[in-house]
Amino acid sequence: MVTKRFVVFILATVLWVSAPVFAHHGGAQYDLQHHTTLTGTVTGLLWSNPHCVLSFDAADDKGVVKHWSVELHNPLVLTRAGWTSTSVKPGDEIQVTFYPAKNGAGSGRLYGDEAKLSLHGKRLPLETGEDVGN
Amino acid sequence: MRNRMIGAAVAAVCLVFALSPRAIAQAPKAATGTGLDHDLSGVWGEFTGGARPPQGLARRSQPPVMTPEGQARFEENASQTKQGLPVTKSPAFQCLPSGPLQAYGPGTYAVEFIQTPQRILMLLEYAHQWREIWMDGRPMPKESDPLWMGYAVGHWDGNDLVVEMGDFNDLTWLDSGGHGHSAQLKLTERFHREGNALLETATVDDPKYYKQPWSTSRTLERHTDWEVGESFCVRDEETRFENVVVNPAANPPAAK
Repeated sequence: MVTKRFVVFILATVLWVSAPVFAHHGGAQYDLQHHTTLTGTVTGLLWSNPHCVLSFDAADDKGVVKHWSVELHNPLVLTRAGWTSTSVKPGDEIQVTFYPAKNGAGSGRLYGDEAKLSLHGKRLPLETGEDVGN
Repeated sequence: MRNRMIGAAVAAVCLVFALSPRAIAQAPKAATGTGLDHDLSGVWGEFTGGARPPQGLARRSQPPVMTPEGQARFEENASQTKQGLPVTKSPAFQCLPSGPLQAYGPGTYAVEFIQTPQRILMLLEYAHQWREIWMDGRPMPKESDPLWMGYAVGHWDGNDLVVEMGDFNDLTWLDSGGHGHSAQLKLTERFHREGNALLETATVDDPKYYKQPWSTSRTLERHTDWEVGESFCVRDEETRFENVVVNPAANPPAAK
């Protein structure tokens, strides 16, 4: 019989093992098992703690345009990766691979193993020290 | 007689100089031949660019075994994660002081060690915090108000820095997963350096919440080209981030 104590133990172990992966807001609201790749147009870059936010409009495979706001790392990490607050500007064409929100909202996470961002065909690093092979 | 007095005066001056803080700071350290003895100075952070810590410095952690009270506290803290929601219950989200372990931040932030003869300061980039470790042999205070960062005294064990901490309040988390602690918490941290890699191991001793001591650790790389930057936790910035990214994703998952 699966007792409540057993469930809590499993939850505790899973969360303890995976804790370092969480941002301070957590990541449980994103589908971290399935990434999405879109081509779109930047509408803004919020250069601020706790996370920079890249906003863009992109069409899905049916041609429906959706507005997205995805979190990047904080300004210090991006600065160490070579970014400035104007590395990406409104109107820029980008290709972005990110982890979308599970609930279908236009939110997501733009860092992690599969996350990528290309501006005019050139990869931008999303982590400090990331080799993007340009 | 005169020469003896001059000699005594010279000896006294030499003794005063030898015992001055400047002289103590320049005294030779215990020699191991590596040039890194008792030296954690510099800016440390995550391993970057695909670098990995040396095999011998892999993180070694033991899972916590909680008392009923500890379990109840953990379930409360972790409830949002279990529901797939953003963790707005975390002290970090509320811009509260982090406590010594959460102060390292989510892993991408830097920490700088600044060593003086009497104490070691840790400048923690995450939320612009600092920790103070007294190295002058003082004992833990007999009485203290409950503290967010605790009171810390340290000593060298060979070339490892060992830090003992107590006098905590019960308001911080030990990790981002939501493991809490009581005011009975005794925390011991060991810093072990090998070249430009640093293994930090924290042992949690809190009988009220945990049936036995357990440990958690992290490994850091020394970055000679980093400086600790300014990164305050500002409630308005947190609120803005919530409104733009966090809250839209916080609804129950859409039915397929």
